[in-house]
Amino acid sequence: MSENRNMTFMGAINEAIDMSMEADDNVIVIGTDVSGGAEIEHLEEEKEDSFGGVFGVTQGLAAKYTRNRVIDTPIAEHVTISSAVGAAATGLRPIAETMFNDFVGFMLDPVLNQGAKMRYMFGGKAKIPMTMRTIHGAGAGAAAQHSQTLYGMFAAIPGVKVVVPSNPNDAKGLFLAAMADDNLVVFSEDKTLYGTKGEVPEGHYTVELGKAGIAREGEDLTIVGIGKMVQVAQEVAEQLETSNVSVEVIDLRTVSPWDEETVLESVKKTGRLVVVDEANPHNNTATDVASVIGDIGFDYLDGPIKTVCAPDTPVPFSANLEQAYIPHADKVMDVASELIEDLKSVKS
Amino acid sequence: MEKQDALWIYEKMNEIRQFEDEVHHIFSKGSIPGFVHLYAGEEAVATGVMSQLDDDDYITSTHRGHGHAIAKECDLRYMMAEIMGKKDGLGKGKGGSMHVADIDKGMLGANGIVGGGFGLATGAAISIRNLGKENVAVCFFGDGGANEGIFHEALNFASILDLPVVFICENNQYAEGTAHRYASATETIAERASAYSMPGEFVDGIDVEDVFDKTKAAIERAKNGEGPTLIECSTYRNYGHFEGDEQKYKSSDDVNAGRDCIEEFKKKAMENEWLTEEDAQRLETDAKQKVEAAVEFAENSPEPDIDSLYEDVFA
Amino acid sequence: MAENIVMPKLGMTMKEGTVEEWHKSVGDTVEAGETVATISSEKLSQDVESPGAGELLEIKVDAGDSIEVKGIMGVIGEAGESTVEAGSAEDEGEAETPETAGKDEPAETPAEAPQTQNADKRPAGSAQADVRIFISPLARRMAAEHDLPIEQIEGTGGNGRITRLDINRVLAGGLDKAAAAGETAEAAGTTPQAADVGEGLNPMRKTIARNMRASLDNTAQLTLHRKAEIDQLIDFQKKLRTEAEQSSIDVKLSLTVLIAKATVLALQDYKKMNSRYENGELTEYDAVHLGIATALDEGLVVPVVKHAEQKSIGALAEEIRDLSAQARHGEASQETLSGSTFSISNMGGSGVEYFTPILNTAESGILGVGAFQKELAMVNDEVTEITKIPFSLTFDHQILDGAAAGEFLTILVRYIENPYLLVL
Repeated sequence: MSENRNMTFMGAINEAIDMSMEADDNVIVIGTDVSGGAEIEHLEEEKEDSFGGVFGVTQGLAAKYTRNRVIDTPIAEHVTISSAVGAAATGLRPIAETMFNDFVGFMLDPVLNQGAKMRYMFGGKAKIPMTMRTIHGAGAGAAAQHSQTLYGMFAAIPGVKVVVPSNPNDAKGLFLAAMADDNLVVFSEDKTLYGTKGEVPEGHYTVELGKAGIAREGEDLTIVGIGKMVQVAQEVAEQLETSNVSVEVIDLRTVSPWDEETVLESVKKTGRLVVVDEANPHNNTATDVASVIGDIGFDYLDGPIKTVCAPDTPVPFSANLEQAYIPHADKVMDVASELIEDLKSVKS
Repeated sequence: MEKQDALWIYEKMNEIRQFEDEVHHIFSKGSIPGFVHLYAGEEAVATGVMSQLDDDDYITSTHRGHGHAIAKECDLRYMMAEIMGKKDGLGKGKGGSMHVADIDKGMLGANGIVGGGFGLATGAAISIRNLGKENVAVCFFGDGGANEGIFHEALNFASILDLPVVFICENNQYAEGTAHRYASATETIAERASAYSMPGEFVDGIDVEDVFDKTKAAIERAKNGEGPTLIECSTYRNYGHFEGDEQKYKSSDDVNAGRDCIEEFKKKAMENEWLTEEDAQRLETDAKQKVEAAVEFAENSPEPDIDSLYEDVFA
Repeated sequence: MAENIVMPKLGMTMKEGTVEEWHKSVGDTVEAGETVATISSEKLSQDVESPGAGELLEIKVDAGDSIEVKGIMGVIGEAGESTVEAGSAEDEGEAETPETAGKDEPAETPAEAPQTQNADKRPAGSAQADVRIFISPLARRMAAEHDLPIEQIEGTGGNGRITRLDINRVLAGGLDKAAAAGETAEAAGTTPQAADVGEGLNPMRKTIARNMRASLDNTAQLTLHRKAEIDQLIDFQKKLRTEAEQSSIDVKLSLTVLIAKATVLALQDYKKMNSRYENGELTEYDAVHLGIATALDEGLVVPVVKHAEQKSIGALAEEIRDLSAQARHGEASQETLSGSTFSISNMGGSGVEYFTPILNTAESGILGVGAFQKELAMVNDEVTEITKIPFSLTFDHQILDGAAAGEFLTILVRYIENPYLLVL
């Protein structure tokens, strides 16, 4: 058993891609600047990337696996994703990158109408074993067109699985699980998590798709977090621990299909539910979780289900506004306080 | 073109024509739900191209896809069942006319999205390249699809990678009810090829032989790693954009109006002694019988089970 | 066999079409595929071909008229053939295609669909007619499982919601509030909780309703029961009466007066019970302002004997008599009807033994007095008949615990059973 290493979130994803390419020649990486530097002599000679992805997540792969398998596309999101779907339908296992999820307007058709529907429309004959990486999240000063949180849009499409990792360990395990899956999986990465470190086991392992993780066990209040919001939930849990309120933090991990069973079981125990999602407040994953649990978990609820989301605005640029936009622990605390009102007399 | 090619082409042309005329007939009786776009009139393009492909070559098609599917040798019975929404359809009744597909035959699907095939064919070409196959991907699209943004993205991308793909524009003069001469800044679609450093061929799409010859060269280029070709086949559709279209926009002065690709090919094939009158009659009768059998099969096929609604969403 | 000419479907949305023109007349010979009519829908028109060869036997829809898609416009057949046959054959054919057949059926409303007017339907026990009780779904389910009346449970959750914790508390320690139906004393000056409480009642009942409800909403009431021997007190009363008559003192020395005196003394000994809890503040009093619940025809009032601790038995008797008279004549002032620190409610006259008086908020206790009970007891090795009086002490469990209230009762019983203490 190898010792666990401390590794960044993006390092974990890079390793997962590397392992996938190593294991299967049919795995390709395709996207804008996934390597960069194609046909630039001095880079080609040195077998170097110019970027390795704008954040460097795919760095070093072109040198190792050739530009035949790490395919730089022009800035053409539509053909990037649609050709990946076409390649997936005809024998390859593409890892396609659409960079910022805000570019969805230029590449939605191949996901919405082609990749997601082919198997169904073709009577079960097609397989689309493809992982589409994309980047979401505010907090990097990237402003309205590079910062939104849109995994919920993809999650609304039947035939697509949507994964949102919260830490390096899960990022690697979920990515390898996505690669093993014969369906179109959207893998949405929070850009502000790229530099965060955590323990990442060596070797191949998977974190099951569609299965939430219990990031912290508790008895009194369930907080479901998605991606970076799991950290926010943890902060709240720590704060409430000082008041003897015990919080269970669930890391949803997969937002479609999300793990109803794990959330329900937790709510059966705690009776109280808060869902934290950085998406805008309507028609998002949090509202979906609230709606489903409000239905199947009604008789276990000891108070209203609360959602904590970004406001109904675009992502602002100025740092103070951007911080006010992102759901933080204090906002979750405010919302949770009504739910735990009755605990105050017995736990203080 | 060899005699063998000609016989195959004549057979498939007749199957397509009979099939589409039959669908037209059945649709007006109300037995087919939804939208139907008929290929009749354009047979020369599908057959001229497909006579040079085998099951390992890929095609992407359009909403007007019956002809491509038949020429790619999809089973007429399963096709007709699919168009009628029956359990035995190619898509188990869940795709319908606009999504007729059979991946085992290299048919990556008719496509309800105009321009939907560009990227898929380009991706199939990446598969062919990376898997080291000696095949080709053919992307069929219309004069309407040529004006989608993805046309530019796909041709540019396929060209820089020299991918084994042939882009075939079936210019039937009308995108729904909008004329090509209005909607395109260039007189031909073919001339746009120069923007992507690839050959652009303008073909008489009513003349199978012209389609056959130009496509043959393009497929060879593709397989030789010389990259994609854009071929524009000038053609005409017998029916409207969809069934029920009054076709007010058409006129007898339209390019190719009044021509019949099957009649023209029959004449030429007999002149070239590729085809005898007996061959022709036999193939016409065979086609008729195959279509009748397909209709009977489809009509006898059950409705899909309700449980199948939930099946095949994920692998 | 005859064949029908049907209205074709031009496009997905077409529901009906109009026959523009018949190109053939009845009796004309037609070839299969020959144009027989031209039809149109909203925007489209199309020629209709004959489905077979023969004679046009019948035109069912005249030019200018409309018919639904797939409806029969006319019939083709051999000369002299019956057209009825064609109709039935076509119907059978249609029936084999349920998908399309279903489409054209008019949307049916089941004739016997139950007309559920459930706007006023509420789950049993969810709320009284006029008060919305907030309770979480989980707590509601638990309450139903344990058959708990939710109107007697205090909600401590957000928005005053009853939560699982409240149910668990009640399961462990009993209901928070007495049932609203119990006998009670009026609470003067308490704030009504909801504007609509007592609506539709006369002014006095309305005040009572509000006070009762406020009492139950704001306190945790618990009632203890205990009997005291009263023979000694009865003897004492007789002796006092004799003395009073001999001294020509005009006073009615009822047992109520003596019990009131005993209560005042017990309250002085045990001041926790002589308290008020209001506006978040608990006040214990040295002075005893004793409320005496007094039944009237239209309700009840609680006149207050101020500074009862300073009054002799005689003075107490006099004041109770005067206050009762004022109350009965509707002459009691607001001053005399407020400010009590403890109350007594006597139901002995009605033969009631034990009951659960409702607190006259914001007092912490109320003493219920029941009817005498004859009992047999062993006294000096002999079976002797003794008389006992039942007490029902309701107290606010927020302020006092059961043991404390029990202690108060013990003190009271000592005064009742040793009446000479009343005059020491």
